[in-house]
Amino acid sequence: MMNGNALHTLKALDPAGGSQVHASPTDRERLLANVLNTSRPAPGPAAGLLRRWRWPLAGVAVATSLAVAVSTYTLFGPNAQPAQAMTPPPLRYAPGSESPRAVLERLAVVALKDTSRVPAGSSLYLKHQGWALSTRIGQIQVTSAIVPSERETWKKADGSMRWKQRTLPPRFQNAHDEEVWSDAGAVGEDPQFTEDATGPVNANDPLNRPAPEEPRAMGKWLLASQEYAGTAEAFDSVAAHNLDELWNGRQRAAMLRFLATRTDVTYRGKVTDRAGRAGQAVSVDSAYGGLPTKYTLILDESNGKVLAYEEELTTTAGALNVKVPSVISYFCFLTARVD
Amino acid sequence: MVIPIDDEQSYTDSYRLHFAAVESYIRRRVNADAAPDVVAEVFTVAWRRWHEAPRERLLPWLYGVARLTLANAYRDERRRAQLAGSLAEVTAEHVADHAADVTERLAVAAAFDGMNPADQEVLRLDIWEGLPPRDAAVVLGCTTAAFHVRLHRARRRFRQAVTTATEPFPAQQEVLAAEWGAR
Repeated sequence: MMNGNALHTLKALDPAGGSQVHASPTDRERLLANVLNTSRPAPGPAAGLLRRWRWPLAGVAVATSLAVAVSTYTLFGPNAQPAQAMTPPPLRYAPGSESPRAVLERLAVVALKDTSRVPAGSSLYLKHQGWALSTRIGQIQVTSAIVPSERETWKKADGSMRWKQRTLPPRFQNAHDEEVWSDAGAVGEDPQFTEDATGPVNANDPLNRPAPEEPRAMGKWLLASQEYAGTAEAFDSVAAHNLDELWNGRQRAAMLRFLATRTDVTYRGKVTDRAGRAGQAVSVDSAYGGLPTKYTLILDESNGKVLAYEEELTTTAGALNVKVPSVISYFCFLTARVD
Repeated sequence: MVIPIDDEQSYTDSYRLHFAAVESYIRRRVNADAAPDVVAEVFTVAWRRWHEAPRERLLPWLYGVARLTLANAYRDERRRAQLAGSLAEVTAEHVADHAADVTERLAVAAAFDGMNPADQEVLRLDIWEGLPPRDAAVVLGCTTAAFHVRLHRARRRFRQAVTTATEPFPAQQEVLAAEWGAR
């Protein structure tokens, strides 16, 4: 009898009683003042990637976001940074003739030879290095040098994490760039340290469950956090998950075989990543982030592990004052082990 | 992708604009005593992560921050809101309610409280927050299409739960309704 109106009844049972404010104006302003007095850690590249995974917002132009970041700190920051942002040199890829499907299948077979398992309830230790055009050092958008960060993460079985991050020495392409960086305040000369922690995750959220070991399920899982089911979005998810997860051989094989089903994946060839490790690179081109971008995963030939992830603008920089092609982000996954 | 919003003024404006909605979101999920602390925690976390805030979807983003904050707050089960408990308080203040209405509300509240947390959250976002699927998907970190599917299933399971809550023990519900009506 009531079933047809059950949803209407539920609506009327709103515990908040609509949207009226319960906190007094005085309490609200006091809270605001207290919040603004708290410190804000500088965002790191890892946070950026996780953020996109957690809060995927397709259609928002990266051009706008990065341009705002650059101009804000160029105009208003304590240290004047060149508007023309320096970007890392592209990696040198040795193109191969194999099909991407064959390469990925070969790596999947190798991955399956790794039969080790992560014991249930294990704590993890992970380390990676990365850089992104939007990264800030001490709230300053450094455009005169490449200042990568290294992050160590300790993760418990309940999903809670603590991490420490430090900036690495600035990198320059030539002496002139170093001079420009020095004139701009030498931001990043002294390492910047940040650390933070998060509590346990919601175990009911499927995204917090272990990565599937079957290709189709893996694909669905990777794309569950994305607004569109594009291959680039899957690349993004693979990288994001690898920041704080340790996949076994079956999970890696599932990921590789899922990617092998995507027709827009290309084989880019052999390459040495920015940590000096040799790997096989597969890429996909997409403009889902707002600008035409090439997304690349570099995979370990001996075990199918993800070694690195790179994003490069390909044909236009939009409102960004960088040359094209330009690497705008990279991550090297250095360590992932049971702690 | 996000747009950095890093000045205090933009945060202040957004805080004042969305405070009521965020407070309501939290009051729907934890008991009233715990709500102020959680509200403070959510806005503190939002400030710390302000560089991540997407200008176009600020409220769904704030809801998402609240959702993750509540995931921690839920470790203390005593803080979790029970709709039936809230209903008891409301009903006690409205003694003139018709017994049949009270019966229906009790059944609906019991059905909602008995659902799994994922279904509850989908229904809250749809019915109480009134979010369009595109924004609700942002809160849950899923695709719009996936949200549509989850919503459809949650509604179906909710209706089944209401039926279950009503049919096996009609006499008991009438007794409960009479008790509430007598207050």
